[in-house]
Amino acid sequence: MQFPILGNATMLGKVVRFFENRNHLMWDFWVGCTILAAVTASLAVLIGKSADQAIELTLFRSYPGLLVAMASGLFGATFSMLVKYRARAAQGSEDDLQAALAWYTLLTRASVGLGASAVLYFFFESGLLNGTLWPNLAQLKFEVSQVGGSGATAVVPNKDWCLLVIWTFLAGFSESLVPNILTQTETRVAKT
Amino acid sequence: MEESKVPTRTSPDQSTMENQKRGTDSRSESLLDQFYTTLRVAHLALPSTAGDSQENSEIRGRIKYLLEKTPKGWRQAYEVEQLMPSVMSKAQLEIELERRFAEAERLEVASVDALKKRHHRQDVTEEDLRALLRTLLNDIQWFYEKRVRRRVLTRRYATRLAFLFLSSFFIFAVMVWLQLGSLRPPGG
Repeated sequence: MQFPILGNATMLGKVVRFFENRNHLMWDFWVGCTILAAVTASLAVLIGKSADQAIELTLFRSYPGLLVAMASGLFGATFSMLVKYRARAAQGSEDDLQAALAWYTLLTRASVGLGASAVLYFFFESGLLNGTLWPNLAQLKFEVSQVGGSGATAVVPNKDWCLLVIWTFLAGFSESLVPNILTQTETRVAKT
Repeated sequence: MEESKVPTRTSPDQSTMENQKRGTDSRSESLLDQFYTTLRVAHLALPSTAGDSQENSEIRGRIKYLLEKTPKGWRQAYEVEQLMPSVMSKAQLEIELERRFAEAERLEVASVDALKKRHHRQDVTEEDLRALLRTLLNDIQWFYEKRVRRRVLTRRYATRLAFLFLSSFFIFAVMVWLQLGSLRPPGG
């Protein structure tokens, strides 16, 4: 990698050369740490404590379930990559493998999951998708449930909450679910 | 020492060898030791040097130098293996060719059929046999090199996927926990 504009003597140039000279595992380690640090820092900025000491986040209140939906989509996308790993490692050519393991490929696929789940969330919010199979975002909540016969209780997510997680996970897992919904919506709009 | 005149394969990728060297552990080192032992024995079994041409003397010198050179390495061993056919007797060439053809067929090396066809021609000379064996060795070594490289890539791919998956699971768990904080039922 060359940075002609920055020149070789700049601090950034030195840092880049330092990492270029490390072995791949070292490079992976630093990329991984940077991603985790970025996520942790973002959460630290977003999180605040309310008066009753319960952890509260404005985005959680304004768009309940959105961040969970996006996280679920990301989870689905990485799970999809993991499931396809064996086939790709066994059948793909060396070039395929090289391209598949590149950070930009992995992060692009993860971003697709993130974006697809966010789009699906707003489909649910808009009411364009109706039926018992789809979650009702107005009903998202946790419920107190009895555990066993001893009278102990546990806080569990309700049905709509679980449906939201399942559908957004699917949106991340399947690369075609959300594009298909978008195409169908586009066709429907064109007819009206 | 002067470089051998025998054509040898250009190194496939330095990183392959580096990863191979780094990624290999004691198991690989013992394989390399075994390989060196085989090469030394094959070297001792080479026909006498009397009447050798200048070129063959250089090749013998190069083989000796590579076998004694430390630290040992797969690339050196592969070079020795490729140099051997130039100084083998015809009987040794025939035996080695049979053995290598069997190995190449087992590995499904692409060029094996074409080389076998050439080997079975009536007018095949001793020089042809040497060239055939060198080409066959070259292709087999290339196959092993690619296999090692593939293993390294597969391992990196798996590591990255596992890291991404665990990170996304962690993020998901944190989000659920945070959401629980804002949607917690009264008294829950």
